[in-house]
Amino acid sequence: MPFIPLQNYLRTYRRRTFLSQDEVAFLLGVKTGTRVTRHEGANRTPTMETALGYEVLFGVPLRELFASEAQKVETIIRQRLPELIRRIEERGGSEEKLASLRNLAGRLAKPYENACN
Amino acid sequence: MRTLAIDPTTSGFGFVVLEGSTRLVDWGLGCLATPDDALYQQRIERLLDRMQPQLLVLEDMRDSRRGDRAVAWAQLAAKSATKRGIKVEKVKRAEVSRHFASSGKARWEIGVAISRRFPELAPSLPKKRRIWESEDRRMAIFAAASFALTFLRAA
Repeated sequence: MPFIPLQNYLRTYRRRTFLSQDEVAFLLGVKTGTRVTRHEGANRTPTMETALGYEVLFGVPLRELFASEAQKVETIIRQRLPELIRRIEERGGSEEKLASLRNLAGRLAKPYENACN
Repeated sequence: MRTLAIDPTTSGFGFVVLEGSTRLVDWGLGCLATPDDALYQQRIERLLDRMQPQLLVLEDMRDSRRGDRAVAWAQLAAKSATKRGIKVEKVKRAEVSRHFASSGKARWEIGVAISRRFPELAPSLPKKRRIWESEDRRMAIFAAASFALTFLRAA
């Protein structure tokens, strides 16, 4: 069975800070701890404001808090990148732009690796 | 690699989830209102589905003094994991004692060593029990952690 990051690590980091769900909800200004429960269980996607709130609160980058989602986004970009490079080459786009995209492709060439894996 | 370790008790189970051997992802107690096999299995399966571990670590209860229910529940957990293609490994108490030899032999002393390694577990560590007291159910979390750490260090 391959390693797949959890949907999110909100519960892990919340428990490391010894905070209850209600306390996190209060700090983030969301209605109740129930909302935090739903975020932790991946039953609801937090708003951008709340997600950034989690990052501030736990001092952990969003990419790590939502590792599974980050992995999906990275995979999509990695798959689309060659097509964009091909299109720009056909159009005769600037060398600077192509170099930047190739640099990005090189950076994404390694499959996503969770820091803890 | 994500590892789930479970320690069945008479009224539920303690568990920890580790990624690698250094990152504690989740931990807790599964308490059952009634010691029902079907309910226990349901809770274990929900945990397996939520955490999606690659490895399940349990106590090797052959030649141990654990009760029949704990033995049966460990077997149920192993069966559920095997059904999902999760590798199951077992650790003997003697190996745990050897692994934590420098911290002390008693379960509580091992618990102290584990909570030093994972400070987030410290609030779950009960006071040292007195000889006439029964063991706090939260010790199952530390027992599960000791199985996982012993196996991961040994592996």
